[in-house]
Amino acid sequence: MIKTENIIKKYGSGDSEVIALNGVSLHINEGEFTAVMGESGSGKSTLLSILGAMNSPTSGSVEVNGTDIYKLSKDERSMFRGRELGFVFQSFYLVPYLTLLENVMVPLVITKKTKKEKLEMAEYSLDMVGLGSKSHRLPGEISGGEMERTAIARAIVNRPSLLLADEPTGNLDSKTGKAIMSLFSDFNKTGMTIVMVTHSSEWAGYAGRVIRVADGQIAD
Amino acid sequence: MKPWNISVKNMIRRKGKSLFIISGMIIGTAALVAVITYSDAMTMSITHKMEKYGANIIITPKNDNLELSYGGIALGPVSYRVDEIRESDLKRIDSIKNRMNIAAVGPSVTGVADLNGRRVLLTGLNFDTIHILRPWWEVDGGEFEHGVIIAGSAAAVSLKIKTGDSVAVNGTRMKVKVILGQTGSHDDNMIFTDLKNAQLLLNKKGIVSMVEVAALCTGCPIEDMVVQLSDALPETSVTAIKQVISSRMESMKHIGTLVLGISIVLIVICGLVVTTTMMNSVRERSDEIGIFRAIGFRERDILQMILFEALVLSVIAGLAGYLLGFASAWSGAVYSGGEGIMIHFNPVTVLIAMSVTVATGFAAGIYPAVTASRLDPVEALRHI
Repeated sequence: MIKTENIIKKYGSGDSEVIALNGVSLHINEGEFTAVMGESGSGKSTLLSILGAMNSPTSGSVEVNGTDIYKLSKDERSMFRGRELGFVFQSFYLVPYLTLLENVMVPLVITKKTKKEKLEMAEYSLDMVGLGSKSHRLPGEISGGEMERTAIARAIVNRPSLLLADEPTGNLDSKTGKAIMSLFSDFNKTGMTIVMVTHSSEWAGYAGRVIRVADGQIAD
Repeated sequence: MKPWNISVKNMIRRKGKSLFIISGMIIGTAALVAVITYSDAMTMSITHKMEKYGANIIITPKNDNLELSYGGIALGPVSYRVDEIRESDLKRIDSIKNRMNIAAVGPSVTGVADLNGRRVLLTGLNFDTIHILRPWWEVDGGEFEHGVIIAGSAAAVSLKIKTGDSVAVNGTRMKVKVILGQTGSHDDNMIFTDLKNAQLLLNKKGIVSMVEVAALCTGCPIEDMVVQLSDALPETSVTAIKQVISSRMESMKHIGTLVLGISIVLIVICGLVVTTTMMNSVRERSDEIGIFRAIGFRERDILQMILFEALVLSVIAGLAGYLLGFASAWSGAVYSGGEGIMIHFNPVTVLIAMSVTVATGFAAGIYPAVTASRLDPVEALRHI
């Protein structure tokens, strides 16, 4: 599913050069729920962005579903992200002027699906996160937990094989965090591969596997 | 939902920003339209006023005259051979390419006649075109009619005639209908009647001595017309009155240069306003653009969305700007008291305004659009 070989990621150059990842090799199987833990600045978010085909490594290779994603052109990589991956961000990043339904539909906008198909898929995703009844509300009219669930609905609307989440519960209270983790567990049970960055051992406990990153390397 | 739906919703959500962009473009377009419309109207007005100078092309018979003058003393021409113009040949004037630019054709015949026993210079004119070819005539005697005499001011004094007198011209009794006001030209010393009558009195039936032509000159190719008239009437000499033409052309050239200069400045300002505002908008929306890029939008998808916004705003601004500009030009003409300045709807101005606004808005949107499309999703979102 995911196979990385000796990823090195450097930012800046000369005296200001920072090595964010220093020779990361890992293998994540299809259907695995993996938590990536580490201190702030350890390189876990950089690892996630590289796995998410958004951040080219300085060296090394990344294969997702058998595709060496950094050998793809920019456009091909964009399409790969839209087709194969789902992203959940800590800060939700919902588009404020679109309704929840429209926000969830955004990844489908650039696909060739019919209007009816797009609508059905978005409604199904919102139902899965329990927000079907609030589909016509704007992000400003719902709670933080509901925003996160909308962001999750958007991430899964394309039925991605790999879901990448960066501290999805970072801005949520414990109760809402648990609800989100339950959702992730449910998705994982359907066969979806999940890689989640978190600080919390509690949330990492929902994952079947925990990878620790320290100083840009896999610690264990 | 399509990408353009997102663009439209964004423009509606950011009404203030959209209105700011639009108002900048509206002001630019309105100023452009007002300047073009007003200068068009002014040019037409000036042209019409210039037409009042009368004829600007003179057709005379070809001749071999030799002017005899020395030391400022003119002894008059020595005529070796003079061809005359046949009135019937003048129909050929209607066949020239630029015949639509001809406002009036005035054939005339001139000769020496006897009036109450004194020799006078008698000219026969086509009275129908007098108001165009001699707009400076001050006529207090009403409508001209066949068989009457019009006397120049100096001639009337010299001949001791007044309006209503009956005079004998080459033995034919005729009534003095009008005494002209002083013109300061040769007309003051002459006696006039209608062309047919003069041809009879001077025994020159079907013959004309000279033809005056008034050409409408809003950019008319007067030199071309001279050539066309010369070709149509090869037995004549066709001359343009250069002074009038060149002053007309010079005025129009100055107005045109001024309009062009103002327009270019306005367009550049308009473009800068759009670029700056859209760049700010792109910066404010970097999170949003970053998320679009992260979830699969290609650079070209973002590019199209931003350019679509620029296009929609430009079209709205173009239409609103045209209406505002036209209204400004109209009120300018009404309230400035500009005599004879008439504002007309001109579809070409609409086309120019729309094309310039849309092209400027679109061009000004390219840089922000390219910048937006190249946003690195990781940078835009700071962290995924």
